[in-house]
Amino acid sequence: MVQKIIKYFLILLFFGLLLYNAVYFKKISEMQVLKIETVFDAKAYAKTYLLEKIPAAKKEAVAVADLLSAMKKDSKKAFTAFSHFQNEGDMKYFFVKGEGKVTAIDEEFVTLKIASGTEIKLAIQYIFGNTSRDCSGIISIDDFSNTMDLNNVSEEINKLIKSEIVAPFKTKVQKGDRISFLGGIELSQSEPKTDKLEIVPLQLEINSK
Amino acid sequence: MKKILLALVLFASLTSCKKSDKAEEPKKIAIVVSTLNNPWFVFLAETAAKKAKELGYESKIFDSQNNTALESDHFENAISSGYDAILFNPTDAAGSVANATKAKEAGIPVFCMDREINSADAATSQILSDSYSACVQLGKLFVETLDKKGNYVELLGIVSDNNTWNRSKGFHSSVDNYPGLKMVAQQSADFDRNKAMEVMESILQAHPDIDGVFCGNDAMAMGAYQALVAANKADKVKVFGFDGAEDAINSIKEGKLTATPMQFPKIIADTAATYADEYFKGKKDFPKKLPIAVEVVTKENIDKYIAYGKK
Repeated sequence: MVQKIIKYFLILLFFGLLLYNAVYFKKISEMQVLKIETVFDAKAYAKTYLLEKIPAAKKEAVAVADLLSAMKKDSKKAFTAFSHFQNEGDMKYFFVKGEGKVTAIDEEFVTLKIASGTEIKLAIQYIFGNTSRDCSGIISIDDFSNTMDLNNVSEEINKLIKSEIVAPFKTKVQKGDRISFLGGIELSQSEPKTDKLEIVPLQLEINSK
Repeated sequence: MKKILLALVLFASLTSCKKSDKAEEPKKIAIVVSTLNNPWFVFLAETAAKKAKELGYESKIFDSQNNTALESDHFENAISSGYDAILFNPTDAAGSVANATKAKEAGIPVFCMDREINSADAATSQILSDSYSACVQLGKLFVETLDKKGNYVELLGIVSDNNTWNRSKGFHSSVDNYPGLKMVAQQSADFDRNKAMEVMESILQAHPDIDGVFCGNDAMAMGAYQALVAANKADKVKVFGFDGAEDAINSIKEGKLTATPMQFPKIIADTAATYADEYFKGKKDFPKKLPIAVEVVTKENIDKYIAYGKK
């Protein structure tokens, strides 16, 4: 009799352990909240980057005149000293600052003449690619669970540049204005073209005539 | 009592023999690839196997046939057969995470090659082509080639693969800035040459007036080109691929395809095998994601390149 009780107790214990936590119930709403929390918000990330982190990193940017001079001297050294990148490819990015006088405005660019007399171009029409994301070196691929999120950040930063930086600037800028800027430059390491640099603007200020 | 002691001694000697045998055996590397029905992945897998051999390891290639369930079987197999590392080209960015996690839990490092899984820590490291950046550049070339205007078609790869969308998004981030360029059709052909030909044939019936085709890989570009030849439109329509596969490189030389971004499968496979070697030797700190740059190949710069890489 005792043996039978022990036997049934062990069988019960076995099935009890087997079923323990094998089935559990959760509200669908709880699961949906969990899913929403794990969805990456590229737009919010881009906003913090462009409107908070970039202005705070201004001192890290290289003066565009200094970059041009370093490039002229020894482009390899200039790339090592100032460029940022996510991959070991030919295209590298630079975080630059400067100021200059507006000499021309067309559909695609505002041309500035900086103190050294060199002309540079601020892009105001076509803003795409990874220059805005990678130039500062603030964003690392390791911060993302997948590259689609990382690339969505580029798209959102570029959209914000168009709407928050370039759109208000375009309505006010005039020939002869003095402009100060923070921006990004993409350059090929094998063929760096530094005449009429094209800059993706990250911050633009019209100072005075 | 004597018998028991004898049995214990025998057992101890047998287990010690087994341990020393295992220590002397070369480590084994499983190479699990999404498909061997595409020459690019054949090259990737064979290069990884070659590098593993050079480094002194045994290796075996497993073909997942673009099937996540089969891939799961391969992982079970690799874990139970005592493989020491897995070089992994996944079938599905989300669906393959479970397989990498299973291997990680079994103490086997996983090194992803070319294709990504949506996890920052299931794989020890992921060596990936920077498809998005490459397609931003390709998009610029597409705009220039079509002179900012015309109708075009896009053939997507497997929709559950991140590379498909990274390529598509990079391309559109350039091309969508130009309202004169109109995408008349966007369909998936699963990175498959035959399917691309069929899809392109049916698209051409609905949209006979097109100027360009962007395909998410070279196999699809070759299939699309065949369909254009059959429709007598190959001379007018510019076809762009992605990969740097042998037939695409030859086609660019012959003026058939316009361009393809060159991935570097040798660099990817060699890096993955080298990482496994370093892992065996004690290194544990690897970059979670290592993007490998991709370069756009055209008729103008084709002399610098051969199939799957640079000269």
